[in-house]
Amino acid sequence: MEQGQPVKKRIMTVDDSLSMRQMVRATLERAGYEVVEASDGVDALSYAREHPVDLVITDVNMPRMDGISLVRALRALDAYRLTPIILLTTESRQERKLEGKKAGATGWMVKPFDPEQLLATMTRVLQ
Amino acid sequence: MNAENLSAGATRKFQLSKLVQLAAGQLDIAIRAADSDIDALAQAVSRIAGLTDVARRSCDGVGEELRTYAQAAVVAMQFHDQLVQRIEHVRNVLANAATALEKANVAVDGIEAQEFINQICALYSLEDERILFEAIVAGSDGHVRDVVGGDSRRGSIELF
Repeated sequence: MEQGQPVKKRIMTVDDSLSMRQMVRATLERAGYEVVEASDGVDALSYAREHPVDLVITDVNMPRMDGISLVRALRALDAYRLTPIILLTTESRQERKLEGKKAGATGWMVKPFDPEQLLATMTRVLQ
Repeated sequence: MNAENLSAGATRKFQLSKLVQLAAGQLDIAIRAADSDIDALAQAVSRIAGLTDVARRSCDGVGEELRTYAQAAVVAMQFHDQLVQRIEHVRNVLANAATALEKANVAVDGIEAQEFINQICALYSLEDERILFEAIVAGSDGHVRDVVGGDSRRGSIELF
């Protein structure tokens, strides 16, 4: 890395939908973020145990491990106790949102996401 | 009901179970058949969105308009994720129904039937799915024609 070059923030996007991960990746990389992908909570947790990231964006309804379970599991890791975790989901039930909040999520976004709104939210939580 | 009728009834249930399984399988194929095309489309939209940044730097007016359309395309592309979820929910309901039908000789009491219905309802993640379920299965006052696809909270953000 050249001296003076700012370090890119690393974002992990977790979704069992490849097209959704591509849309999130396209939005974030254009804004200068480094993006890593995981296809469900199990893959995401496996990656997180070995690599720190600056923010996690995760779907809720996924096979093997859902997003809210992932939030709980990440919060149990020392490196992820304070990492912003945003749930990005079609799920709109209030009780699920409260579950996410109780699990330790930082925020809740209902799909489809608007790229500019996503970036503004990330800027806010990363500050 | 004599044994012969019961046997005929069990056969009909079995046949119906197979038809329901077939419907579930067709939905599964529909989901998978679209995978490669939607991935290609998503990549193209991503690339176009990236190129709009270049266009903005070279000719502001057209570039800005391109950026607006690219943003709209990124939002619209997400239809696929929601569509797949809806189809998966239908597929899962059909698969569960097929399993229930296969129990041809087992009487289903009220508690089992309610548990089955509760399992179906638990599958849903979209507001209009639950409204439709209430209107048709739970017998609410709502009408199917009043269920508009989509969720009023789509695109909303809440920070805790």
